[in-house]
Amino acid sequence: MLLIFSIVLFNIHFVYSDANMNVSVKAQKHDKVKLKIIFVGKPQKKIKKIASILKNDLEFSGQFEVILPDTFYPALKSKNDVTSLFSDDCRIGIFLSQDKGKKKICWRLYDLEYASMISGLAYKQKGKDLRGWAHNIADTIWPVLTNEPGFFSTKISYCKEVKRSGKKSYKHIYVSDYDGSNEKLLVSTPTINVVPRWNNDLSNPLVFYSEHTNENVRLVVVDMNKKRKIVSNFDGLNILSTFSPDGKKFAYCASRGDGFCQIYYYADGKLKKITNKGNNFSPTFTDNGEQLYFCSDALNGRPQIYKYDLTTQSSEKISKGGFNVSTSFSSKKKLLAYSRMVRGTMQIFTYDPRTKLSKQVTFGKGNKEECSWSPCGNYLLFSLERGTKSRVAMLHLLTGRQHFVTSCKDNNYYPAWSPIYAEFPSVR
Amino acid sequence: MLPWLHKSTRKRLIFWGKLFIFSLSTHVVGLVFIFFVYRGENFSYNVSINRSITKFGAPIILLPLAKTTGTNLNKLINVNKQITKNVKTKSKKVLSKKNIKPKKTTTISKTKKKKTVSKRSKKNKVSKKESTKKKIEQKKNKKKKVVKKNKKQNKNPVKKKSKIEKSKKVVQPGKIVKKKVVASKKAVVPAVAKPVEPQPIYVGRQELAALQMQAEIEQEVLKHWSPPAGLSKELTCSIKVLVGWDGNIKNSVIQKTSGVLIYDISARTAVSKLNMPKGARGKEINILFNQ
Repeated sequence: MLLIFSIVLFNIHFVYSDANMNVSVKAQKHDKVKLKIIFVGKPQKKIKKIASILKNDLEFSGQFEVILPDTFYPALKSKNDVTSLFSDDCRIGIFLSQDKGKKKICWRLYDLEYASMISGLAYKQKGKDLRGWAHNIADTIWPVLTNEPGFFSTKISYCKEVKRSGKKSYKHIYVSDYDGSNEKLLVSTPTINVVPRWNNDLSNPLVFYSEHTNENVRLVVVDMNKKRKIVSNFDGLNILSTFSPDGKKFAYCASRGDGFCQIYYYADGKLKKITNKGNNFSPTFTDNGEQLYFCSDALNGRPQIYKYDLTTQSSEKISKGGFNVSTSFSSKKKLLAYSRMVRGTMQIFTYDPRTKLSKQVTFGKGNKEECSWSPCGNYLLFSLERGTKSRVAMLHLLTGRQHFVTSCKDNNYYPAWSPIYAEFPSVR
Repeated sequence: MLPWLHKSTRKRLIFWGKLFIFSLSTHVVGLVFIFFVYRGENFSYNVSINRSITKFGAPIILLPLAKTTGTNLNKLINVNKQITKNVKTKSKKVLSKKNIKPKKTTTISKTKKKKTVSKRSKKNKVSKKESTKKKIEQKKNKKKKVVKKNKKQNKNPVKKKSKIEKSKKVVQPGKIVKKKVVASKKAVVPAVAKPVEPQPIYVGRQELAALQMQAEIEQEVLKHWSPPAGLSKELTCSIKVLVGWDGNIKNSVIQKTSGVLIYDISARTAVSKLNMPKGARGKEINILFNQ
């Protein structure tokens, strides 16, 4: 008896011994997280369209695999109804439905295993573009999933070469969604239109671009209704406009007929020249709008990056030699992106003003120039030139994944990423 | 006659009583041994193995008779890490110093570098020449003198600095190098620096078993865990799991969230797929998922 008792005691002791283990593991491979979009309510084509755009948005970064079933669930009444959708591979689901008034689209993010709601929102439809609604919804879901700001409601603009038989080609300004889809022609004047840039007035999306005329290259602004207006019409070049993040300050380059391009800064109704020597171009404001980065070849004919302080009116050289062009500042990440020549090829670098260190972010063949940041600061848009072809490409800085945004059939230049406007900009 | 066949009931009872007391006492002794000396399998595994401990070149010595060595393995591993790091950095420094041009050495820190370079070259020469004991003794005396000199210099560092500054001001850089070389000759220490070897790791039976089991668990977790790409590298998620007797996870609780939903979800997905090794069954395990 005692022997049996001792054996039992021993086993109990063994089983309930407080042997806690700590195991620490580091990821060695990456995979997509699976996510379900579930329709609730009466079958509707509109909801299906929104779901398919939402699927594309969420899958764009390469972090998600979205499962989109065709079935509509009339109603999910109990927890069991939700948990029945759970599988080991797919633990989260987005329930999409439309309210009775059909003016709001509701989404609810659920943990399917425990049937608990993580987050939800009734989105009020802004504007008339269904694509815009879907992108807006994606922008509200994205921060919940990844803790990063969304960027799906943005647009990109670029110029496209339009070839004419036996004659010089034109360049037209196009606008598309952030991923290159839904391309729309914005400016189609029979001339060369280059360097489109978005303004930062979030309630009124405008595109500033430069138009070649017989006399000069003038700066023109166009709204989403294709209404155009001349902004600067000095002799020579009027190009490369840029806005401060608050949208109140403006800078651009103008040569005013003397052959040298200078930077002009506009604020409080006054236009002020801030450079004097050499060619100065690609101005870009910092996050607080107090400094301006730009390129200048005044020193030795090779363009270098400078920082101009608008309060102290002093400039500081940032780059140390080389050939540096097309600066662009991200107010979200507080990083400067620029192109630099590396062994005869232009590559994109990022410069951190806090550490004063530069880092090369693109490699491989082809000249990468005219970079533009996404509003979230995780993507860089640039033109990639290989041989006679030029395409707009995008780089995801977190994954290092690079892909083309525009078609291989066309030549596209000067991409620019818009901020997130209050209403999704759609060209009419 | 056999005692349990004794005719007298009294004697028979005494015999059974003695037998009972004997068995009781042996059981008591046995139980005391089990619970207070042997202590069953009651030990905590606190060795986390992110990397193989053999990576640092430390010899691992198994002590088959000992259960635990009482030493903190984590500490030992960290010590060995530091040693290997130091060795690497030293070797890198030496390599870089060999490439340094003498004219560039103008600062105080660089003079030190020069000294080490000359030490090496001197060491090689000395090792060839060192054939007799007298020379060694002479050098030892020299070394003592140098040490004394250094001590004196350390005592009044202001003077030393001022001297260096003076030399900077007055003498041309080329000449400074020459002086430094002379100084390094004085500072040559013939005593051969012992190569720092990583400390051997003594492992008891239980510790070895724990290490093996942890390695198995780690492999099992890595097999199933693949977070999405493009997330911050500083993310960590800690999940406490209870392993069932079949090796599957009975219960899991997120102890510390990463703050990013998809990261936590990927960790939970991995946990649900785990099939733990035999040794981990019936135990609670804290799994820390690092990006």
